[in-house]
Amino acid sequence: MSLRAHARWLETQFPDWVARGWIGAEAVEQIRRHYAADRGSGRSWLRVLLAILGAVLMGGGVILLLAHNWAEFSRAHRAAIALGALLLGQIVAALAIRRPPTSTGAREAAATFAALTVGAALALIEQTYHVYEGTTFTLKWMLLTLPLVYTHEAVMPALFYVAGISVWGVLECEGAGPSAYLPLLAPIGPHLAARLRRGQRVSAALLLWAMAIGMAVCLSEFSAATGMPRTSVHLPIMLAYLFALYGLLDALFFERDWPLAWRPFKILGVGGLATLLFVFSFQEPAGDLPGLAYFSEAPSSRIGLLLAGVLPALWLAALVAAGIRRGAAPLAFGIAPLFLTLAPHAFGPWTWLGVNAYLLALGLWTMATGARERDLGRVNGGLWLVGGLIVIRFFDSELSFLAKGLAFIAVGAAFLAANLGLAPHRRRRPR
Amino acid sequence: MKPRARWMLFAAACLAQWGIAGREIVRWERTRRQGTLFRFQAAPADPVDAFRGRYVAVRLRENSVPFDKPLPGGTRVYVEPETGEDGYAHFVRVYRRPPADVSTCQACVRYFSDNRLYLHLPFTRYYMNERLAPKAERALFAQRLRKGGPEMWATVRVGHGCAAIEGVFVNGNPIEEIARANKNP
Repeated sequence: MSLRAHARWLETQFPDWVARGWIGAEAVEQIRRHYAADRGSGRSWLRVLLAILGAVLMGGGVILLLAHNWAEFSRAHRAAIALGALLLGQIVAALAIRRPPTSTGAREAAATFAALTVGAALALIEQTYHVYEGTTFTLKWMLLTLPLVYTHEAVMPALFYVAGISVWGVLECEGAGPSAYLPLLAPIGPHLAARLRRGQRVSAALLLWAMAIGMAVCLSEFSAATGMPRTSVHLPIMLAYLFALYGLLDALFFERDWPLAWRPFKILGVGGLATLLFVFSFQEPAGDLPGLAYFSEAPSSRIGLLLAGVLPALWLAALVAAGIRRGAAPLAFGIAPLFLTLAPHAFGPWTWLGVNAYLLALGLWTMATGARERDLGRVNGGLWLVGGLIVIRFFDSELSFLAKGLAFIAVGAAFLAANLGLAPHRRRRPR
Repeated sequence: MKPRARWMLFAAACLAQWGIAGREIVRWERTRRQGTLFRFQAAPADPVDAFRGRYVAVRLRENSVPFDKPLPGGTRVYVEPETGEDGYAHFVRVYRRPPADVSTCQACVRYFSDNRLYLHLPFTRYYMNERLAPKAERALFAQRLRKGGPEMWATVRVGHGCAAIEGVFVNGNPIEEIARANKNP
């Protein structure tokens, strides 16, 4: 039910509640004011989005106008236009700083426009002198727009910065990327922390999504650029450490208060790990798992140190912290990279069976803890793991269609039974 | 963030933006005014850049320099061009730091083979007006079909460790003239 529908329902209940003496007329007015403000905040978000869209279109328009390449203008004119565009963006940004802190739309739009004009100015200079500086251009642009994140307390330049630095990291995967990517992302940390402290969940979640995706893409590129002989099997192990780290960070910082859609670390972490485990539940990929060679075969370069040293160390620290602060629950998924690293040594040619057993145990455990806590989402998650495993195994087995059909019906019935059985409890759960 | 700190950070950001933009203009303007002019053999094509517009991608024939030992890919070096007997520039020496009295430009090592360092060179784009660039490409394509390939070169100013293309020529004519003369829409 939407907020508007809730408010309408409340209006129908107020006379009865007042008549029964549950609440007074003053409380009714306070509740009305509160929900009217909430509906207003929805409209203000729309205003902010429209303002940002306007700034993006205008800034993009400036870039495209300059990209036309006005051959009639001399180099001096072009320099004046480049610096003029820069000045225009700075004036707009300065006017927005003067506005009260509540003018979110003005600040976001002005900072976005200023960030784009910086890019337009730098691009025009390169165009004028027929220069192409490649990744240096991106890095310069991003670093010059970074202060706008703090001067305007704006999330759009922050998203822009994370995206730009991630693009730079991908393009520089064989150069400075591996050593500089994480230090370059770090300046966004205080801004993100401030948003989390102030309870600005939507913007913080957007930033978290951008950072989680950016890091996964960049580290994958770095892993592919190592030049190791078995890159294709080292990459999934690196991703297993990264996804497990995401899941553990979510358990440490977001599990209790945040809705699932605003928890990218949970979605990417658990979803990514489950996908990797499904891949290695097949015989052939599991046979290629490098085991401890993931560490010994890593090159003695910055990329090797990052992927086989820093990343597993961060994972281990998060695993220990999550174990101490949240108990055993986050460890079930959190130990997946350790399992994938040690499984080839423990199970030998039967590694794929070991992965199947781990996946099955994980699914059953998730279902059991979900049922115990009356958490329908978690029960369904466990069912997806168990059901997915059964379906995959039946597809790659030699069983008859009759047996496969009966197994599919059994899995479907389990889904239905769990959902029908738990649904009434779910409705009664306090929000 | 307190208003005073916010304004100070904003002022610093504005100064940095002006500083970087100004430094770029001065750097390239100095190369254009004081750099030595060289002629590099080239083979153009016409792609698009979302930020800087259309350009003629200049594929230089001269992209290596003699050297006695391998350097890792990605190493930044300074290379010195010299005009050869054919009238075109060839790279003759490599430096790890830019020498004061020699015209050099920065380049990036790609790989080492047969006692030569193969390079990523910084002058690979000649930006053109969005209407002229496709015409130039069509004209060049037509010339290639008719005569088996016209003679093309790029004039490049080299100095102070920088290099910037000044013009692209086809059989002695500026590429803009070739494009304007092309009657195809």
